[in-house]
Amino acid sequence: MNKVTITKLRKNGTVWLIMLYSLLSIMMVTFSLYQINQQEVSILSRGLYESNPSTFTVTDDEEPIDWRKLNKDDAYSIFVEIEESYRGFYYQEDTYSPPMVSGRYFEEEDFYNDKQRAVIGQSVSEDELEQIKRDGYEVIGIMGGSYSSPIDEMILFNIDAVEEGNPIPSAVYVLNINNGQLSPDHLNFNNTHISVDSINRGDIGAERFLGTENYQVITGLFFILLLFCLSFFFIQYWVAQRKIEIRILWQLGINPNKPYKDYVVSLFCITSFPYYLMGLISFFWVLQFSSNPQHTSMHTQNLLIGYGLILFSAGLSILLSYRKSRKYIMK
Amino acid sequence: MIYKEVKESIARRKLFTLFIMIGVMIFLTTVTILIQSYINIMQKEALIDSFEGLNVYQISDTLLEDDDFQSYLNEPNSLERVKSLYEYLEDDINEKFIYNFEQPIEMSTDIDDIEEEFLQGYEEGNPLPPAEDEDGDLYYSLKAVQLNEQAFEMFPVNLSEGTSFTAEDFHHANNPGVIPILLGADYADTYQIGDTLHVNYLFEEFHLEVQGFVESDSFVTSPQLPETYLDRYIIMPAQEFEDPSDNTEEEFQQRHYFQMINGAIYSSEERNVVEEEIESAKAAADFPHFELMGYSTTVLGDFFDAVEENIYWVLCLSIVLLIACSLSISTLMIKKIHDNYRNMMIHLISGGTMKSLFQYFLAEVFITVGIPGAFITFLFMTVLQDLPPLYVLVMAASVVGMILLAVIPIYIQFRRLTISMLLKREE
Repeated sequence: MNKVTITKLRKNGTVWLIMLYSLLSIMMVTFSLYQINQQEVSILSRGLYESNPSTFTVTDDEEPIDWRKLNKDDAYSIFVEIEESYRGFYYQEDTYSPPMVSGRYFEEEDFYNDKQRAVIGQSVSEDELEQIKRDGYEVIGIMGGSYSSPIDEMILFNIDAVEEGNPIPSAVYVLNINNGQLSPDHLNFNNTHISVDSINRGDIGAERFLGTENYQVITGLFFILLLFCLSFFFIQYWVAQRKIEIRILWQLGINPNKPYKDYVVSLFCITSFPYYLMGLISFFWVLQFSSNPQHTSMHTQNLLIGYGLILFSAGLSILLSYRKSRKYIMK
Repeated sequence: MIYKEVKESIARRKLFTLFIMIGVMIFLTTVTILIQSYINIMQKEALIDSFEGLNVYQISDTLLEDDDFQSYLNEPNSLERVKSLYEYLEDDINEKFIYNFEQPIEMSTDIDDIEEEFLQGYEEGNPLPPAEDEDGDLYYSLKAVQLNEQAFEMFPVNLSEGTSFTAEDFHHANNPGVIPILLGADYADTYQIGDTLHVNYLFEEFHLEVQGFVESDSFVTSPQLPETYLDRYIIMPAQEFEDPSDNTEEEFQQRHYFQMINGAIYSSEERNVVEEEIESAKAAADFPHFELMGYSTTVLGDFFDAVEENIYWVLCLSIVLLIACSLSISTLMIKKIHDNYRNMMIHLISGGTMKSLFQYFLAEVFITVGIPGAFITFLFMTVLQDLPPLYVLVMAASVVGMILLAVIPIYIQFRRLTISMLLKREE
């Protein structure tokens, strides 16, 4: 690229636009990291429970329960509180995976496979660890984040190993399910009902005390609005610079469709290039430095949503400019 | 003159001026939300500030076997010595002694009058069934927490209405048979200030007088139960009693005081220093059956870490947002001004100077960025009344930052340009 081309790009606004979209991309990457980490603090401070889980005891505790057959279409995780920091655990399809110090978290093959598997927190004592091993459990991973949280003292077992088919009498079950709050008096089990007593525990953990979650939601909404508006305005500016060019082409007999098509292509490249660059850099950064493997998939998801938002706002902006210029030309 | 020029320039490109103003307003609103978020976290942290860096040592009597316990009670002055130990821990020890115990109280009530959430054991899926006395009355166990004066001062327990405990409330002789209580926020629909509850506490009858309600999400902590939210609790001041008048009362006081000495020491000192203090207490009270248990833990470590994480990310996001948005908006501003260069040439031809041109641009930037900035700041200062001076400072800094980021590049360009270059469109 020689000096003339650079000057030309600078003058026609391309360099400006790339710089502006780089700033937007940095904002999106930071917001994604903010959101991922806030979500992690939120769920770890609740000891892996969601903010509004279904808590219950099983009324009829003599019937065997196979938690795989819980008749729900969504992914869910279920915990049973055995003693102070001991819990049985099962998940179907998908679960929040905590940051691990070593080893791995549970996977589907660990359940209902005649196995005895345990995941322990990073502060669990050697004595307790030895006792777990003596009881026949294989410790597959140690969980813990870079900050202290209730999971540090926790010991999780696969639920089939602790229940051996029958629900534990008077134990409290906690069910995380994605489609919001449920207050079941019974749970569906492949067309049979298990009757349960719901417990309303209220919120727990540091996040209850801090009360930051409302702020996070509002911050998120305004951030999206900001991103949308800035992207929209940038494109309006950029297209406005080309108003004269379009008029001249029109007078030469060239339909504005042609230049606008070119603009769409240029803008797609201009908005995408910095975003891909920032996205890739941040992706590798998260891969390298995060203690939670789930963060890379969450970050990718957020980046895709951000990309969609940017493309949508840019697209809307250029569409409106196009319509305006057609209306003006038709006059 | 400048004002007229600026007004005309803005009117000519109304839409783009509007874009910049909207951008500034949304940006500053987002900054306001982040500042509020930060203030909220700092206010919450201030509530638990006194715990930072402290270790908690659990202390306990060693008369765990019933035989040992009974044989101690048969010793002369057994009750006085336990009382003396408690008084030493309360008043004389050089550390914070916190007594925070969850002894449920028994109340004879119709189950329809009391919600299940208030019963002891509800959250564990095991609400205690009612006990029946010889008259056939059913007594339900309600969740209650007893706090000594130091605990009450140290924990973030603030009132939403009513009066707090005073020093007199911790000495039962000031109002025999009556214990003033505070109720958790969830009790607000069930009781009012001035109501009296007739209850059994450790098998002794008392009247509990409601004198206030605590704010929701108030909590207390202990080594056994790191976080207990008080919303569903009855909060009682730990009572010190005068000498018992009969055997029944003596037995009650024995149960009560033996419970009260099983508290915790919150200290920044090393374990050996705390052990020495405990030895002094034992010697002063002539009560040797007492020790520091196990190992110490950091108080509310999870909470402080959560605070730090939250603050870190709020600050990160704020800084990136401030820099990125300021640069973006300033860039839009600069582009708008550049588009105006051609129009300004008329002034140069008619005898205007570069200096006056620059003044027009400066004024335009001021108005386009400054007006929405001032508007948003005053709006939020009116709507959210407890914003600190920090808020105005940050808002002003953001607006000034945006103005400078726009003005400085233009100024630099102007210094480089001469009138002739501008007229020849060589900018």
